[in-house]
Amino acid sequence: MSHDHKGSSVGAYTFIALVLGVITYIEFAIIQYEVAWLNAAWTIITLVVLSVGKFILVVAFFMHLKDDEQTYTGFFSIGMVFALGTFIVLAFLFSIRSVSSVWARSERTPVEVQASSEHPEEAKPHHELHGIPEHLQASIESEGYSRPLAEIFDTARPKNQALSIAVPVARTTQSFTVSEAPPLFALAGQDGVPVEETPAIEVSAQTETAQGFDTELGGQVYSGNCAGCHQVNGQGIPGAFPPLAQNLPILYQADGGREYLVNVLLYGLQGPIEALGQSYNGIMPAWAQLGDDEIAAVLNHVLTSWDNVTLLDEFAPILVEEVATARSTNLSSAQVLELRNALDLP
Amino acid sequence: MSQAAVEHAPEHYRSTSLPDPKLMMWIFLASDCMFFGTLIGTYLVYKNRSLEGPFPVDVLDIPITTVSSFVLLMSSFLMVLALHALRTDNIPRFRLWTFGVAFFGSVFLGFQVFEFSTFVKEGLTLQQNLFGTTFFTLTGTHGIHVTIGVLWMLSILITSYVRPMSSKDALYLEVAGLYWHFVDIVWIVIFTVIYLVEFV
Repeated sequence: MSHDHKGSSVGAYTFIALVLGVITYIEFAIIQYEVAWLNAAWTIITLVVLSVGKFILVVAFFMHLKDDEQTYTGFFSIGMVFALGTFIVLAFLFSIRSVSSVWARSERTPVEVQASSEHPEEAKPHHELHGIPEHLQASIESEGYSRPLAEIFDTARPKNQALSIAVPVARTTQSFTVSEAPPLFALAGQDGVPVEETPAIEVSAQTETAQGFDTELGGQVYSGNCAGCHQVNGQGIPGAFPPLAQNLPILYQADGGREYLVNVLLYGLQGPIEALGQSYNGIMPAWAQLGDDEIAAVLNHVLTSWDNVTLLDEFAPILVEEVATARSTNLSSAQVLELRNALDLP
Repeated sequence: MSQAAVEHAPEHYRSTSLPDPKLMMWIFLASDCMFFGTLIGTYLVYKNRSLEGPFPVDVLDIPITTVSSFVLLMSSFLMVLALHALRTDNIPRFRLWTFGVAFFGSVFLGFQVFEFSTFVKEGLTLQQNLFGTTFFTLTGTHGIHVTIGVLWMLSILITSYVRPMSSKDALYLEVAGLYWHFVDIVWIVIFTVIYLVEFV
């Protein structure tokens, strides 16, 4: 062989193996015996440091990278860099939406909303996406990610209506996006938040239709959450996911069908069903994590897409309030299936 | 390098003086890094997004997995001992340690078979939820790597009985060892990221 292997004596190997074993036991002990003075964040940091230590020991001594040609280290590092890069990109791609939705959900807590309605000047947090670095926030706002913003505005609003006279809300129309948006919008102005930072409201305003509901939001929710199973054309997947085109008008017009549609989105459905003469047996997950406004918007979207609206004798858009009411009933998916079986379908 | 290898690989065609098998193994390991990086990334992306159980905290067993992790680490230790023995032409020891690597690898696989069958009994299958899909894909891919490693070790062991082996063959054992250690470090990452962090 071309080179000597320094430090490769059996004694050194044994020592490394011993260290590796001890580290593994420490990792196990940290989790198993719940070290009291380590909080969650420091526990994770400790675990990561320990496993990186093991990783480096094996690579450096067992794989001999420490004393071997640097070309090997170079190739391996390239692989590692690509792996970590893929990893970071994946993490960012998927966490931004979930971070903003988690924040939007926390906005619904009564305590916070109450505070903001008693002190209108403290309503500023509504315009910031907490937990997201500033530069990312800017890109979210500029690159058409209007949904999280809209979500935040919409979810915060119903509680404000109930609690605050300072935020008067027009409730005479069914339109829930435009008519209710201006009060918060005005608060934004008072806080010195520039009007340009709230593109979601403007977009919604433009897409408001004569039917009185937000088609833009509904379309976004559909393509983001529903189209994977029910397909872009609303045809579903034979045997697993029932079609929405042509099928929904039948459900909607049945007695109790309107409530069923709201419930199936909130609580999901599992079990064998029939739709348009075909059997289906799949899983409809519960979508309770979506806002009331999003659920209403996507229902109105699917009820009016694919010529569905032409099959309806009359159509009154599903209201945010109906979703809120249904949300308080807390059904199980089995109860939703019972609701469906109870429908008088042709 | 043996005489034959020198004759068939003229020096002026080469851009590095590094032995081909070893260089190729390191390049393969670099690509395998990306493979496992993507699988682990996918697991984390779908973490906590399963709608139905069983969830990770319901099924993952830290004590058992700690033992199997330790077994795999020690197989890496036996691997370097085997290589050291072959380099010093200690063939009986080389055979013993090589068999030890294959044996410890098989024990690890045994733990994985036990784990997988327990999970299936508890209702976690590949199709059950996002956790099942990403977990089985990741740890199953790792298990296939271990299986290939065990077969490789056994084939080297058999070769040592078919024809005489000496320190001149150390390169081929070293390349197999690199693969084996890589499979070990992937498990170091999986053990921390998938198993331990779940219970923090």
